[in-house]
Amino acid sequence: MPYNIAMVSDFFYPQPGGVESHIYQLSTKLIDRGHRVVVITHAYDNPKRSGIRYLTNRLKVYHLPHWVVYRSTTFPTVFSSFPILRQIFIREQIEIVHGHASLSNLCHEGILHARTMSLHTVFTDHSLFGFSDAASIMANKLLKFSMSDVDHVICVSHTCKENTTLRASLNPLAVSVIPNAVVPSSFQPLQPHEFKLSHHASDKGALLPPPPDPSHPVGPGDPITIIVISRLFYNKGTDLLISALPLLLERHENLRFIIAGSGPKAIDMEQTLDALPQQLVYTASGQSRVVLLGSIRHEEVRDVMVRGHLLLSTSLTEAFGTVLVEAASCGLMVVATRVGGVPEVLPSNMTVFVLPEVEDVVRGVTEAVGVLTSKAVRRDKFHDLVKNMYSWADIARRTERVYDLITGSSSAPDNEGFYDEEWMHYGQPAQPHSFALMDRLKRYFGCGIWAGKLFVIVVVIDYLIYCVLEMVYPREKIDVCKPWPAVARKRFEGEEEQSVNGTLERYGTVKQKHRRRKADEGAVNGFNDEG
Amino acid sequence: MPQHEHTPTADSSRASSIHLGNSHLHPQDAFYAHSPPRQRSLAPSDTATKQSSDGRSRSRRERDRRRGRSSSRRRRSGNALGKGQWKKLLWVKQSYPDNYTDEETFLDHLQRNPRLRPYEFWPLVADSTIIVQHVCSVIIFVCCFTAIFQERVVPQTVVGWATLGTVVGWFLLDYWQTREEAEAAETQDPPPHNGGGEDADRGSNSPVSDAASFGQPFKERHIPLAATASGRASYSHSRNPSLASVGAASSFATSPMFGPGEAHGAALPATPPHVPAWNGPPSSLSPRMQQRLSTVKSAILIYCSLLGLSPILKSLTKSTSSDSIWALSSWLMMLNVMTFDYGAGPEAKFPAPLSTNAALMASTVLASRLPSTTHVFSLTLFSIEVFGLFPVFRRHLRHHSWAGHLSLTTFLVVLASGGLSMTISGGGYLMGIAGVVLGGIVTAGSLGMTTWWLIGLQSPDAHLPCDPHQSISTSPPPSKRPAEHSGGVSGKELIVVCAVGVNVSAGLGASARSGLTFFRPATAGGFGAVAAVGRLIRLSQEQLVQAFGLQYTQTSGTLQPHIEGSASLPLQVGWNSRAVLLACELARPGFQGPRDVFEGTYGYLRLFEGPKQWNMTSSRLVLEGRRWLIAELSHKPFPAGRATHGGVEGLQELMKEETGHLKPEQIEKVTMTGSPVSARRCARPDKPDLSPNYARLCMS
Repeated sequence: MPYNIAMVSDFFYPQPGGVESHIYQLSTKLIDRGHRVVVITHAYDNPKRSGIRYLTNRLKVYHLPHWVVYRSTTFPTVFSSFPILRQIFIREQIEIVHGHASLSNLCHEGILHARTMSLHTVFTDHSLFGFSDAASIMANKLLKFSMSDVDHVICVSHTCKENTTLRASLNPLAVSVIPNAVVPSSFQPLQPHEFKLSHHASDKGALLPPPPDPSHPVGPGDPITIIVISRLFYNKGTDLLISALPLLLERHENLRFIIAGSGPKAIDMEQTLDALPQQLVYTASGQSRVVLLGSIRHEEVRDVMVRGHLLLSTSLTEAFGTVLVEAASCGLMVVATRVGGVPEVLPSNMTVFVLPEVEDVVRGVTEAVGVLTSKAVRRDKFHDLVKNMYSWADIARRTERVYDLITGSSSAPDNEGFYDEEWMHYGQPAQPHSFALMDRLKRYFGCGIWAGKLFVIVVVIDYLIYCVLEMVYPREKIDVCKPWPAVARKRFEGEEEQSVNGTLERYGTVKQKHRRRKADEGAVNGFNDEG
Repeated sequence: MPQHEHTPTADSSRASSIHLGNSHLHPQDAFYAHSPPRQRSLAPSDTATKQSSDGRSRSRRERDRRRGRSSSRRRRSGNALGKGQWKKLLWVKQSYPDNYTDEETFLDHLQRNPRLRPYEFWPLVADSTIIVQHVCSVIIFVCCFTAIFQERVVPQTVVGWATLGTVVGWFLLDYWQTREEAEAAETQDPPPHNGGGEDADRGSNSPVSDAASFGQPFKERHIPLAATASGRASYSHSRNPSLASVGAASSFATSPMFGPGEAHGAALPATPPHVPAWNGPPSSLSPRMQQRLSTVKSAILIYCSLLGLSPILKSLTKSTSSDSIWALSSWLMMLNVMTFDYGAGPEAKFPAPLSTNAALMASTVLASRLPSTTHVFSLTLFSIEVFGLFPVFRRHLRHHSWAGHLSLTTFLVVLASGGLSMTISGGGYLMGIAGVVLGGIVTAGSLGMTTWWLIGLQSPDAHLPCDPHQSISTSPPPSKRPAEHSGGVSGKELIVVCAVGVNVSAGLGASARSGLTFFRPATAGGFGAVAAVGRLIRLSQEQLVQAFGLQYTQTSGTLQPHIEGSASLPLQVGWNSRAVLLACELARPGFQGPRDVFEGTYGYLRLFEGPKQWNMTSSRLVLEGRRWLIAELSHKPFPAGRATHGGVEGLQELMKEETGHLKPEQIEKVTMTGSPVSARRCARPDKPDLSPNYARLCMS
């Protein structure tokens, strides 16, 4: 059945990033499946992007005017956003509140208030955390608080699930693993016509090594370009990269590097490169063997990726590693440190896993180069393989199943039959999550000796605020937002027919698409639909 | 992975696939290592007979029962889907729901507290006495001020007693330092007969460590890292002598591995300030005396300047209202307690600056409330003594005499609680005694409570998988016998020596990235033995470098005897032991050996391990003595080559009751799967007339 869903997170466009694109893609695909989705985030470039915006595919975005403290996270005021969130939830007739990213305060607040308002809640965790240092302990407490009353949690990898289950003391059956996906069409390997084009007009990328011709296999002495796309932070393993780089340059004459991304470690990187002897850093013809691109936009990632043969990821912690999938989709061989969820992401014939140690990275790259030159892999097949592995439509379908599970409603016809009978109600709580205040308090009370009591106080205050708000702004006085006109319903029905016919990819017919575009034209939007 | 098959007889049974060791993993292996197939040790089903499949289902039933769940569901799922196991993978479309939790692999790779050192009760209490002492001294100061302020006590009395205490403390300190110096001078003497490395020895001789009246050793704060360990650093760990001395030993023995700069810092202790520079200007007084004089001089200087400053201090904040003064001084005192450097050892020269300044500032502010200049002078002097000098004394006391530390703590608690009670109640000595009793109870109670709380707080710390890479390392170094002719060594010293030797040889082995070509137990073991022997006969750093060089000129040991199974294989270890003794004996009088032994152009690693096939970064921890491999040694369960052990174990399993006492005739063949090393070394053909050495390495 169609739901009204609110995605709540601090992280959303126009800021680039993995969580942001996850929310956007998931929302659009859920809309395609007939749900109504709004995104609630804080204002960006305050006050320029504040208020309501529409994105492609009728996605409505609420930018709450909030004070941004650190890395686009809002200031943690537990209750301050309640009035406005309540207004939005009532206006949009929200049934399910779906929070994203454990470092987002808005998400935690949204979940808390949603529970107070007796709405269903889902939380998606995108990151891994440690358990030992003070910051992690605080973050884990906070997570435990907001997770103790959430209906279901979604993690992006199995490792992430284990991590989250431990951190927040969750019931593992209430945690689903639904990975990220990529948009395969925007990560295609270099097409033959593009190859010609790039060789003709090579003025722009004169600094970069030219993209390899995909139709030609790599010979033993041919230059091999390694792509590194990562923010240059400690946890992304930049130090490891910095130490491995000279060794790699020294051992393999034919290696080139393109390093995209910026961060606090960029200076270290530059200094290391400066300190290296000239003959290591420059080729015989005077070209630089290591190109630092600085930060690039998400749209440019593909254009950089197709210039290489290998992607090197030295991250020290990674929940999913979208960049690996993107690279594989572009037809790159992947060398990645075996941390977090990385080993689950790609099949072993596309990847070389290494340990997060310098010499093992060197070994891994050597091995990958060997595999490439011995033509043991078909890089040109990667794209089609990856396309079948990950798709947002599939992710949306699986997410919908989670919604069905927590609301206890029957699933859409195209969402049935993926599992056996015996899995029908797997993980469904014996009795539905009670909304009664008393039951909620019991759940919070169990969080810890002191923390439990504190949490209970917070919840009680939240409840009292809710009562006050009900009196001050009565429900009846709040306008209910009109649903998007008929288009949505019709599309949903049309889809049902399609799925009966057995099509898995659910895109509207040409006619419907046309209609949809017309409807969109009125909407303000700043983004192009990547889907 | 290489597989080699071999023969025996009769009907098919299950093959045992045994994983021997682990060398570099291929990506495929890496992959499965993370998501192990459910039936790890069972054969492919096509060779399995009825018997073995029965066994399998039985064992699964057992496992299911252990895990407390019905086996029916599992079996059904396995059969009905036919698609096999759930895998911990994201890219495969699996017929399991997204929230499926695999009960067998879930949290399989969790490591709990990999490096946790659990708190223990008494050491924690012992540590917290430092905090108690400081809080008590702050309370005493406040009480004294109140008493002076209320004119219950004459300030001169307070400052008089305090000064007396300071002078006594200084004499004590001076005595300790003199003694230490004497000991240091003694240990620098050449005759090595009294065993023990300099630091370890001192650690055990000093009355402190054994006087530790608690059963447990102190929770050590910082094991000195080799790079930063100076001779003095190990003083601070007298209550944990073995560790400290091991740390020092490492810096001593392994320093020649890394460039001279580091080695100097490590091997030659930073000269303590009171030890004169060797070529300092000659003076009629002993350096000790000079220092004493300078201390006296500075004391007099401070005294005089305080005397002069007192009137200014008195009027400095006079115009501020009393309320502000009380508030300000309370906050400053709190700041003092919060920022005090509780962890500092005796080597720290001054207490934490912020803390000390806060306290002095508080006393300055308070001084303006006092009636006369004498009062102000006394209070300021008193505060300098309490906050500036007393912490230094406390640190030294704790280091030198544990009993003294305890009694000082008790004394301070008594004084503080008594004083507090008298100040608050305004009563006489009776109230004071009552206060002491109460204070004692409160202190003991809070100490116990906080300790229990801290112990309860330490939650299991979980780590996600990142398997450390174990390279094949060598066996321990063989020879460390020269102690006999210098009169024997202490057991502790022997342990240190062994640890150093193992670390050096295994560290060298771990640096290698190539397969065995030379017999590493002999070659690398020789260097380990040099380190051990060098430490034992107390070679200086320079001599040790020479000894390594001389050993390198004699290093020997090939794998040819290994292949042929000749008895000369272990003999090579012996050759190297002999060479080690010679090298060390030659190095002692100063015979020159090559210097860049390990990483030089024709150095050990390049020649013996291949030009590019080594990397010292991985074994750095070991070579610097930050990780002790001797703690990770295991024993060979069978008297045969190490690489064969997996196979032997597998065969023993095969012959156990589980398989119904398989007779040799019933076995047709046994397939063993192992790492490349074991395959290369042990997949050797059976011969009719085996020599013992050959048989030990033959898995046929």
